[in-house]
Amino acid sequence: MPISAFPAGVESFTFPAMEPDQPPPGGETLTDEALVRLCQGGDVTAFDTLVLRYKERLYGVLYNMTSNHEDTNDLLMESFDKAFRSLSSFKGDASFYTWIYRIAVNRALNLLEKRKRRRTDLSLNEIDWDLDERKEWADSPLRTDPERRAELNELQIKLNESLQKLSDEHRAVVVLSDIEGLSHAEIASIVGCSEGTVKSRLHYAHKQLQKWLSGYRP
Amino acid sequence: MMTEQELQKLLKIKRLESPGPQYFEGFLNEFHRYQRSALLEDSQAAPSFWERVRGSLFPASFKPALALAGAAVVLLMGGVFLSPEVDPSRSITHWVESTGIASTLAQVFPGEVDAKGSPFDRDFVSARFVTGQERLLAYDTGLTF
Repeated sequence: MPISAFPAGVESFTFPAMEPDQPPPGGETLTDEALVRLCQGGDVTAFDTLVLRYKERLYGVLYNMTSNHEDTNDLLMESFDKAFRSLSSFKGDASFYTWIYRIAVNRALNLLEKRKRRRTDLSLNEIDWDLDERKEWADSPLRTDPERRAELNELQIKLNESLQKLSDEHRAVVVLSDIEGLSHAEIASIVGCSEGTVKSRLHYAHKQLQKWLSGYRP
Repeated sequence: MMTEQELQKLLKIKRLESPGPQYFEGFLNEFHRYQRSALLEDSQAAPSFWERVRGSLFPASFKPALALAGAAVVLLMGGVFLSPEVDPSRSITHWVESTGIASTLAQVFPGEVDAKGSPFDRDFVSARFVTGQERLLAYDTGLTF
């Protein structure tokens, strides 16, 4: 008689479809610090609000550092998991978002170091731009100009290639400053160097990018 | 050459790159699943060689720190009770007697040392030669220790 994994009378089972994320009620209005305190006090669902709050921003940082969706997904999960496990030791000396950015950036730098700067597929072939959802795009004249949009695509591919040519440390600073819009002080705290070093790396990286992208116009 | 402002404008467009809303919609559930599988992996992680050796030699309740403290006490007690006795032939008083410098010492410390064959005062010699001052005096008189 064949052994069945199902109870008698049940021949198959279909897992229910994955429900969209349901944020914990009331969490959206709380500050990061309040959520951290709640979590440290034993209310682990407070961490879910922090995950929902930072998932897209951290994705952007990690993706622009690795240029690979699978790596980004792994790093994002690892970073949140690491943050959750270490939350009891978080003293609040820095803000939560600086702290979790530091975890994510360090993990990305470690991964890139392990891979010995192996080049991976570039982003625009894999990532949907989801432009129609964006206000910036709705206001852009490029929306109705396919030729200009194609030019921009080419320019973005060239930009991604140029970003990959930068060292990991220089790329991290460019991503955090120019793409994420963080201040020099915040970047210094995340990367673990002085503000002077951040400015110096940015200056050098901009010069390099300008050189490599000469002949292109945004 | 592209200007600084043009470059920054171009870099800002990268904010629009996104994996799409469907990726983020189920992210929290996916993260919970990841956490559970990570916990499972941690609990099933293969023990290292030393962990296997320790597990086969000692019970689970074995506390290395306590064992270490116990071993230290045993060693200390053993050191106290089993330490070898000092060889009398290598003591300083024996050397003074055997080299015949008692008479020289009698000159250095007149009236305190008997230089005519009477038993040498061992306590006196030991006490004298532990101080730096007496060592200096002994050096001046040609004695080196």
